[in-house]
Amino acid sequence: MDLGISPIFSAMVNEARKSIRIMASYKINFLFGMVAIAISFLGISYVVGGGKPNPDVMASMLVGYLLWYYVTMIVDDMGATLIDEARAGTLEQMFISPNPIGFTFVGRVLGHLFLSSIQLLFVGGILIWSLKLPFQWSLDAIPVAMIALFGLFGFGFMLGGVSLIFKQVTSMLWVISNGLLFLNGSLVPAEQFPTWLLLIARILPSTIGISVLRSMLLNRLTISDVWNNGSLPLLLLHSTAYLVVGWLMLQWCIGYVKRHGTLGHY
Amino acid sequence: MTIEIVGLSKIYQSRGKIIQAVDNLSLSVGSSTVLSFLGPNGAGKTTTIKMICGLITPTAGRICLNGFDLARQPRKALGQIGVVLEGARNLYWRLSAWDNLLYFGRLRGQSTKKIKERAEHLLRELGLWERRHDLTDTFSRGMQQKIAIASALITDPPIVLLDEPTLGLDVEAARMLEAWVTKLAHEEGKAVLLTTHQLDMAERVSDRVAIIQKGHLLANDPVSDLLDLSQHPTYTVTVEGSYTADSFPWLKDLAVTAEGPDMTTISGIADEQRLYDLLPRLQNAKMPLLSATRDQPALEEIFLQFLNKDRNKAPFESKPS
Repeated sequence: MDLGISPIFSAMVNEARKSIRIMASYKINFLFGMVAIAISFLGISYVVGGGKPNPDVMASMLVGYLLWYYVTMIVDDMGATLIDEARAGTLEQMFISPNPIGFTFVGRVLGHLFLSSIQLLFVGGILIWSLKLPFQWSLDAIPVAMIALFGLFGFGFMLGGVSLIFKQVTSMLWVISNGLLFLNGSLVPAEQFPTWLLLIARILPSTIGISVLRSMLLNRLTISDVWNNGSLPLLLLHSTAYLVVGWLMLQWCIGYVKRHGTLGHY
Repeated sequence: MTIEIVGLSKIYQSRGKIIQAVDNLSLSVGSSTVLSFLGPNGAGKTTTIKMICGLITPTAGRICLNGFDLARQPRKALGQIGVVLEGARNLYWRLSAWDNLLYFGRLRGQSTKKIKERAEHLLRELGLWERRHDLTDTFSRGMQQKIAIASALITDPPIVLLDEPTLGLDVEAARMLEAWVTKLAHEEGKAVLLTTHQLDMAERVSDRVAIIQKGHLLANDPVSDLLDLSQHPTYTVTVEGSYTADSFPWLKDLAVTAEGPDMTTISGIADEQRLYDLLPRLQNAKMPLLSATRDQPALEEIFLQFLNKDRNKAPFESKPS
């Protein structure tokens, strides 16, 4: 039985190669994009810290900020970029490929995630090093970060599906990505929210991931600790739910646009 | 048959309205054949092409591509086709011609080694090898369309679907593509299904023509058979010597052209009866007859006849295919 690993891997490599080439053709934009990530973080830290940024607070914010940035990249990739590709006809070419489109989408997200990780690790590394932020590096954090990112994939699939059907979603995507910066605990830990807002925040993608990663990278908790205190099982459940629901929603939306003949309509 | 469509229908439901885009369409295209799919805007051409390449789900019917059922074996069926869709760029403009071909070849599951060989062959054939590393947004519209078609052919598929391939191209680029389309079918044995509004182009490149209106197939015949269906054939006569219509009042409603001192062409003879009336007069005027021929009608005329007949609900008489 073909589990799709090979097509997904091929699609991932193909998409990563394509993105690197396109990035290279926009190298100035790419470089200034990284500078913008750093400057935005410094600006937000300055405002949140009341003009006196504290390294401990900045370290906490950086975890949330970087994970939020993954969200914006996924939102951009599965929203605005997908719409651009539909306009250009390259999306239809993806659908005509013998590879199932779902596998191509997974490969595409993985490919872009790989590139985003390099970009964010580079910027994050420079910020941590230059600002001497108190991070407790732990290899345990890598699988936890992966689980958090899988949940974001699911969210990306949902947005991809919505973009395929509704097309005019650019403003909605802007609201989502910027709204999440304030609601997922990136700037202020979600635990400090009022109960009603905390309940909403915990449903959103990345909130639980940020909380668990903070406890590991800043509070020195191990993977066993976060498993035993229930936060990792909750993250696993949350990410799995997003992944499954996102995948099903994407498949349904693909079926919808094929039935209505609106894939290339923009 | 390489493309076989049986009983294909598509019904769209939108805001309480039911629109029958394609109605019980059956069609086949064999290898080494160019079939032009003609019809007015909204006739169902693009919907049909998109159903063939799996972008639109049919309401009913069956599509087989090189023997593979699109509904049951979609991966194998889609592996048989290369497609260039109307109006879209079908390319990444911020990638070079070479990188576009590599990307689309890998997307279709081909090995890098095979793609590189095929890409080189296609780019050399198209005269774009020297510019292979240039970004495609620096290319002319004709060159971009060549790369789009090359990317559709990167896996050397037996079936090629081209939706308005010459739209927006200048005459030279369009003629070059026409020659290429003919070569794909007649030298490489591919089945080519193309849609176009340029009927003169369809007449030049097609082996068969299918005419569709409001989702109904009105005709599906070899081009020569369709041209024979002309309802209003005109005739042309040539006579020896140089004459003008002024000298012969009975020639005044015709186009009389002296082709030189030795030959005059009399054209615009509206029907067979008018020809028979004219011939004795030419004889009486001592104009030696060189030839009398039935004019070959243009495909455009036949196309309009079919559409008008369908609009008037009169039965049309396409030859059985």
